[in-house]
Parts: sequence; structure tokens; C-alpha cells
Amino acid sequence: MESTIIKSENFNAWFGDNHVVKSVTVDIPKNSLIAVMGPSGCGKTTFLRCINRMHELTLGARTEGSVRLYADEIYDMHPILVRLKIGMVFQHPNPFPNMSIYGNVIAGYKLNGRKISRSEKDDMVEDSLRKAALWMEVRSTLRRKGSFLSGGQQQRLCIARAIAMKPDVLLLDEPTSALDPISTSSIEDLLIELKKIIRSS
Amino acid sequence: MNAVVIQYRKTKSTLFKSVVIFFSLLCTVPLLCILYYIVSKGTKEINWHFLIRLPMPVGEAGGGIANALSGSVIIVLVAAVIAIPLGILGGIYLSENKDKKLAYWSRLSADIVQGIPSVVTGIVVYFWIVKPMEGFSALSGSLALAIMMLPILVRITEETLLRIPNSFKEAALALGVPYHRTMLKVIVPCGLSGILSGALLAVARIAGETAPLLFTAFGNPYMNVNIFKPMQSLPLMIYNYAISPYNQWHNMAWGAAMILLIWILLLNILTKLATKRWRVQL
Repeated sequence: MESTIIKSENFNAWFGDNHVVKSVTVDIPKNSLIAVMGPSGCGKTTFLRCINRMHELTLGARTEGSVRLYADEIYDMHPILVRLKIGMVFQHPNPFPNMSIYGNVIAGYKLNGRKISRSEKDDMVEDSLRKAALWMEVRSTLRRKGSFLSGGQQQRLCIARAIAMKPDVLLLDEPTSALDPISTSSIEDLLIELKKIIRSS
Repeated sequence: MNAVVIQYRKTKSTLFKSVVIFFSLLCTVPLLCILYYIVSKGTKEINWHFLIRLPMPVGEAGGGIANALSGSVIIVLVAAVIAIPLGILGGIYLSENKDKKLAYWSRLSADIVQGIPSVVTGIVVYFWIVKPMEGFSALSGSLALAIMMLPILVRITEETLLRIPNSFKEAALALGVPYHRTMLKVIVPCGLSGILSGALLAVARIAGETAPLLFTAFGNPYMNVNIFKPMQSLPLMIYNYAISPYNQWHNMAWGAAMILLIWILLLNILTKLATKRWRVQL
């Protein structure tokens, strides 16, 4: 059995008086692809957002219980640190419209003010886009704005942006719900590919 | 439906269209008249010497508006330097904290300041700055103009930023980007075209203000680039020359009015270009 990466115990979340997530206890093993399923409105998104503390952007959100990343309590860490280790891809593709495709992939570094050399950047962009199965489609248009891509390509760009940060955990909040069936299956294939890459390395 | 009814409806619809077109054309008449008048009066005054020479005493030909032109540029520039950063920061606060009490009050006060007559702003600055410093100065003029620019900038920044979807902010924060960098490197750049055009429009709006400068920058017949001393500006010069009894000065006022008009026109064109250049496809 592989070790646990995320461990939540008796985790609850509220929006105002609305009790959304009700005592969730779950162990998520390392290097695995886990799907959370349930009817709409059951708190899947909320639970995911609580894992990287994105729920704190919503007014009136409140949580109880514990979520651990390895041995560290997420709610004792600084949210910025949590989000650097736990990446997220959202329901709707949201590449930064003011940046090129290239800029979007390294956005996590650029926006955090981390200095990396030109060749490191180039390598990282190629590597991340390859992992996100987007490299072949965009390698000649890296300098164009990300918003020119199709919805499915934009979502894969967002995945590339998230994995460029080399997070320990990647949260995907229904990343294909806004996409057509072909883009959906290509992203699902991509996720299975990603799991293989991570396991083999 | 019979043919007569349809014909009647068609006629009504045509009539309505013609009325709308007629009145929209009517709206351009004052603009065209003003433009025609200023251009016909002003063009013959304008030449290279008019721009680079200082005013001459009455009776001597060949005076210029160099002091007014440079003064206007300096006063407006200093006003912009004061107002633009404050306005943008204020706008960011308002767009980020829509429902806070402080936001409500600062939004309200921005709207009220926008409605204050410019001459009142001028008087207030006179008592705040000019009297304690014991002298008119270009800086006090800039301050009065900055006060007039501020609410425009705050509101335009706020409205621009409110149109930017929240998902980009979430995307940046989810990458572990601190809040201030998210705002300055993602959200503000996304709204840059709107903010920039707002800033340029605000500059165009204050460039022609006369009243607040009357008792602040005061005017100066000589060349001056020291912002702590009285300084001439185009609107002040137009005002002083237009009410003078000399025909020659009247003509110079027309020339200066034309220059001011060209300046504001250029700013408007620049605004359009800036909007295009920095537009971000959301």
C-alpha cells in the first residue's frame, strides 16, 4: 500500500448557515487518480476548494476538522504555501488573457517573482505542455495569447500551468464539464497518462 | 392583416426613424459650429513662432504662447502624476470591497467631488495651499486639477475591474500568488485598456479647466518652469487675452483656443488607440 498524501478527518464546511461538507473522513493515497462523485450541490467543489483553501475567498465560509498534507495540517500552514503545493484546475478554463501561451505556463513562477533562467523556462514550458498533451498543437504559436485557443486547448493549458509548479497534489474541479465530448476524452486520457508518468518517475 | 394597416405601420416606422436621425444630426451641429468658428479664427494665428515665442507687449506683432503651452503641459502633468496612482489604487479598493461601509462612503464621496463646481475646488485649494504658502503656484493649480481628476479615475478603474471575471483572480491565487501580485500583475493588466483610456480622458477633461487655476496657478506673462511660482496655462491665457481690449490679443486667444482644441483632440485619439492596443480578450 502506498503512503497517504491527503488525510482528512471529520472535516466540515459551512457557507453561512448552509452546512455543505459533512464530516468527511478520507485517506487519499499518493500517486493515484481519485474521482469524487455525487449529485450536483453535494459539496464536491467545496470539499476540493477547502483542500487548497480557496474557499477562504468566499465570504462567510467556515470549516472545522482537519486536512493534512503528509503530516502537516493544512489549516496551520500559510495559504500561499498550501496553494504552491496543491495546484488546482477549475471548472471553466481560465488562462490569463494578458499573457501568451508561454507566459501562462510559467505564470506561477513569474507571478511569484521567482527568477529562473531562460533555458530553464523553455524546458519547463515544453515539458509541461508535453505532459498536458498540448505541445504539438501550440509549439509554433507559443507567443500568441492563450485566449485564442479552443476551450479544450485552454483547459489543457491550465493543466500545464498547474503542473509546471510541480505540485504535490493536483485538484481538478470538473475540468471537462464546460467542454465538448472530444475535448473531454482527450483530457481524461491526459490525466491517465499523467498518472503513469508520475508513477514511473 | 390588410394592406392599409401594414402601410400605416410602415409609414409610422419610417417617420420614427427619420426623427431619430434628424435629432442625432442636430446634436452634431453645435460641435461643428464651434469647430468651424475656432478653426477659421485660429488657423491664421498659428505658426511655428506662435508656439515657441513668448508674448510681446501690446502693439508689437509676433508674440507667442510658449509660456502658456509649457505651463499647461507642466500643470496637467503634475496633476496626472498626483491623481493617477491614487485614483487607480482607490478604484482597486472599491472593486475588491464592493459591500464594505468604507467603500460605500468613498464611492459616495467620489461621486460628490465629481459634482463640485470647479471654481469651488479652486477656492478651497486657494485657502489650503496658496494662503499658507503665501503665494500663487503652479503646484496648487495641479492640486486643484488632481482633485478634479481623482473621482473620474476612481470610478473608471472600479467599473473596469468589476468587469474582469473572478476566475482569473482565483487562477492566480490557486498558483500561490500573493494577493498584491495577483491584483497588480493579473487583474490590473487585464483592465489596462479601460484604466488607461480613463486616465487619458480625465487628462483631456482637466486640460481645459480655467476656473480652478484662476486663484492657484494664477497666470504669468513670462516663461516659468518652477512649479512653486505662478505659471501661465492655455485656458488662463485665453481668458486673460479674450477679456482684454486689444484686437491683437483677441486673435492670439483664438490661436491658443485652437491649440488647446488640437491638444484635446489628440488626447482623444490617443485614448482610442490605447484602448485598442492594450485591449485584453476576456
